[in-house]
Amino acid sequence: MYDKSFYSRKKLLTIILFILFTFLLFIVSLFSGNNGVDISEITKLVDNSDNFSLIFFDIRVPRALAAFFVGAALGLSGTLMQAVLKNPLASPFTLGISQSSAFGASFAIIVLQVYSISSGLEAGFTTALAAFIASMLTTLVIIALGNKANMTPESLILFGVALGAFFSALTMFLQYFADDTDAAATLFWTFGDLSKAGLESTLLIALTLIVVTFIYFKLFWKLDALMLSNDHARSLGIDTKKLTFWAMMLASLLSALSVAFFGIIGFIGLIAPHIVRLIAGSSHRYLIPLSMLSGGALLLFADILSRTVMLPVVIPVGILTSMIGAPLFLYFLYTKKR
Amino acid sequence: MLKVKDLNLYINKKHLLKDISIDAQSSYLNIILGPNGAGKSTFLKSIAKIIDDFSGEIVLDDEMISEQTIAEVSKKIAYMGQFNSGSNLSVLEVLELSRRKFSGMSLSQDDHKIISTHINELDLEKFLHRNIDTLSGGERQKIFLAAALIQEPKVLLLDEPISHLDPKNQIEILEIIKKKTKQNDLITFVVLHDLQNSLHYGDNIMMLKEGELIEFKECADIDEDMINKLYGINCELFWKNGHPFTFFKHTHMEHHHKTHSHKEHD
Repeated sequence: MYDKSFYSRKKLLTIILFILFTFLLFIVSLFSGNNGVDISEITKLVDNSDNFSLIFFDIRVPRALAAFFVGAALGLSGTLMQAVLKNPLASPFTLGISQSSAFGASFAIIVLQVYSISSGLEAGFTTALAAFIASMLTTLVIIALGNKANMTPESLILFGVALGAFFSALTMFLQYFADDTDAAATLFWTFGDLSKAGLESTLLIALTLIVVTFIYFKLFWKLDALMLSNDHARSLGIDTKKLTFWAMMLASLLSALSVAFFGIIGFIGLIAPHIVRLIAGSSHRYLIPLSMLSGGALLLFADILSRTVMLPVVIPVGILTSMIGAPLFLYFLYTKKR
Repeated sequence: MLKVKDLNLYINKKHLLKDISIDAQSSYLNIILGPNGAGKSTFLKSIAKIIDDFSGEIVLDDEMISEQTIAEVSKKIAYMGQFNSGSNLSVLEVLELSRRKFSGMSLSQDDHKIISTHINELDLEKFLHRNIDTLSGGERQKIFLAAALIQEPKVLLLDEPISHLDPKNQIEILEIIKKKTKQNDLITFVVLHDLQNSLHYGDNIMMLKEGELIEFKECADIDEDMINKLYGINCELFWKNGHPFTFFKHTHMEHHHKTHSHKEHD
């Protein structure tokens, strides 16, 4: 039957299940870790008596929010890149954008010596800014090359891999000549870690995501048309060059914000859209909201693991996402139906 | 009425369309013939503004559409290309896309009515929730033809809509195109490689060679010499009971007799 509703009933159920599942992970996240905050003591929240509520509200809640919003931002970023580059392998990580952020941060720490000339807070901000600028510049290079050289999606990914290797080499080059403290600082910066930034950074990312939600309804069908072919999209009145440019800029803005504040968290942007496609198909009507949810859920899950598997040691979550993400990605490639 | 005046296009310094001028009437089915690389697809894409760096004027019913934005042009012109694949969308999602340039996110009652009319008319009900990539070539061409018709255009541009299809599917698609052209007063351009079908279904034949328009004539006025000149071949054209028949001669007749058995006429 021809169903006129915007979301079909089955897909709507999927969306609700995704929301419930993510919410559940959020709650679990609040009560996981080594600070002795346990769900059995939840009544203490009301008492406001000891450091229970302090840990809960000042550490756990911001961290869980960070996990959700950073994951959602990365998931959406990957979705947008995969759509406009027409390549299921596209993500901030595989295009070398994350690596260029790391180089930008290293440059600020080692060459500009931000930590020795300014206060910690200011230095942290400058480092984030350098990372942000580096990744946005890299994106512009990728877009320009894709347009000018008429690169196929395959060669664009190879180009990204080369770019990633190039920036990693540049970072190592800087580290080799840096003193021990600076080298350690850059290394620490590259670890994706959710405790790194405060609530303000999370709110900034959340705000960007809310803005995105407004353009989602204008955007989803254009991305669908683009998947069919460039010509088909143009024949439906879509300015494909403009669409590609702004979608890539938005995608790298989201990834740059996450990397600048929280370090490199790989594979979320790559995996989240793939999981959604397996469950709900490829239309961006579902892909955009669901890949945000699944990105958030993935990072919440990884963060819970990072705080619990090696108690009392907390592993930086970026290490864990790559450790889980890489085999998961291989699995998807292996089982991909064609 | 679609008027094209002095259409020229250069891509990478190659002159792909050379001074093409043409007047096309509504409810006429125009078939574009020409060898590979003659500029047939390029011509269609320029009209639809998929390629936009041409020079010259395109006027549709007194509107200079070559000056309009792609969003405006797309509301009057529908285009079906040769290559659409790997989208993983459902058939219904593809069909709905055709109305979104008018209504955006939420389709109007009218949009839904147009879509469901076409679903019934072309008998697409059973495909609606199938993944478009899993359909057969004929089914897929029919879906994309429907997607073009659902746009309710004034100009319909179809690039090789029957390539790779079996005879039954070829005829079915061509019948729909012909019927819709007359019913909706469309100005239709179709790129084909099949001479017999072209002469049979077309009203006019437009011949393109190396970017130049060499003929634009009614089908009945097309003769062997034009076809031979167009493709650089040697063919014979017969009309029998109003149906055209073509057959291609070999370049070396001796070789031909040695290698083929022939049914002789009584």
